[in-house]
Amino acid sequence: MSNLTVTREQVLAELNSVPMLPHSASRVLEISNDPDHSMADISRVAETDAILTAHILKVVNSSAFSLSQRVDSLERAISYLGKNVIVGIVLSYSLSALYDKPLEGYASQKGALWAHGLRTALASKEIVKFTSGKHYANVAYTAGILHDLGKSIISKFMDGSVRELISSVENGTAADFLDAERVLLGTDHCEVGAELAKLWSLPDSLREVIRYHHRPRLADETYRPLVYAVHLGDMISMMGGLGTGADSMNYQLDSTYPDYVDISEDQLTELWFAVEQEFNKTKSVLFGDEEGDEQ
Amino acid sequence: MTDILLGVGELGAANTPGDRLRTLALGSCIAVIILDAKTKTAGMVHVVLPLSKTNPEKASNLPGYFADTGIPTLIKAMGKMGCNENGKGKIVKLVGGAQIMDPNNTFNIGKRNLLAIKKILWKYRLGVIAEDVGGNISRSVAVDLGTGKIKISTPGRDEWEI
Ligand SMILES: [Fe+2]
Ligand SMILES: [Fe+2]
Repeated sequence: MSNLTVTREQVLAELNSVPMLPHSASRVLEISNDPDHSMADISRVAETDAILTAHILKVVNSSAFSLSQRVDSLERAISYLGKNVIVGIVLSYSLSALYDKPLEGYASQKGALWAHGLRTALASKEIVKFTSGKHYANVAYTAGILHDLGKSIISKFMDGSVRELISSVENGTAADFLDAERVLLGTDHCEVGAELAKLWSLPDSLREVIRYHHRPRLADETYRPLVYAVHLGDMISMMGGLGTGADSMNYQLDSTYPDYVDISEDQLTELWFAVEQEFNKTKSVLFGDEEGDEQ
Repeated sequence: MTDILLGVGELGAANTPGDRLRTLALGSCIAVIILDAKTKTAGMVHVVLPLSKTNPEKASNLPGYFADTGIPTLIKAMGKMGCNENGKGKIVKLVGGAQIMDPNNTFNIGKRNLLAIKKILWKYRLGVIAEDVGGNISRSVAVDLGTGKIKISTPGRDEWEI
């Protein structure tokens, strides 16, 4: 696709062809946005969706768990898998059309966006504990999975322009990759993602993360602890080699983060370690133990 | 022609010409590559963090995870393949250690890894003859046993060699 003719309007118009989020998924997102939700609340939503229920049972009975008995009830499946894994299953199942393709515009492989989101989710959930927004732990997890949603929409408009984007960051024409996207397309993955979140009526907290995860200081004050947490979670994910391709590590760390996140270098190192273990575990439950390029 | 793929924190060595040692998506991790000229052995370790005191249990299960346990373990593993267990006749190349764009260097784990690695190499009197470290790119590496060439790649760019 030639980039010369692409306008912001064309990119945003692409949103009209994105399928709506399945009802069960938007309900799960809504529920997990409530700090006091329980496992039973999520179970009740999953129950109403037969395909989703079958999918959850398939995962719990898959090889990742060496259970002696088959699990046939959703309730037991959920108690085996835990809340985060269930939310992960619901999202991977509902977002597969967007997340399960290679991102040409970022020169990244199939699965990279999902792995990056999951790693960011697990890191953000821990980092938010070092902010004044501790009650956001569950939201931070879902927000982490969703934060780069916009990449799946704008990627095709950047196909063939990867080198141009990279060199504009390298020679300083653009401050970072996000800026480079904006120079090329008149918009960026944050704005487009936030527009999609609006179209899907996602809660404000999630939309704010999607919109400002690279510029947390611009987020609404109410959600700033959450947005800063995902901002750092995203950085940790990229430093661990789980970026989404050519843009990886080409983003600015917001130097105001210590105003919202009180974390030392040692705490960060310990957290890094715990997150990596949790990631490997969750990933093998969700997707099995396939080896592959992580980019 | 076998590809030996090393995961995060893993190490390995090989001496069959045509084989390759590979590791993917280093981010701020560093691949320490040791080449032994006499036995034509190459070893590599994918170092994640500088010091094993962060998690001694992990260090005993997966010594390659940390710089201070990874390098000695790699040198021992190469010793089993007939190399000296000291710095003699070895050369070292380093790849990775990238960082995000952070003018204050608050989160520069890549740089901390690099410092820790150089300190340990110094104990073995091993100098680094080539390195491709730092910057804002996540690198993947392949070491060709036959030629000793080290190929580096990252999404969206052409491959290069050190
Ligand atoms: Fe992003
Ligand atoms: Fe991201």
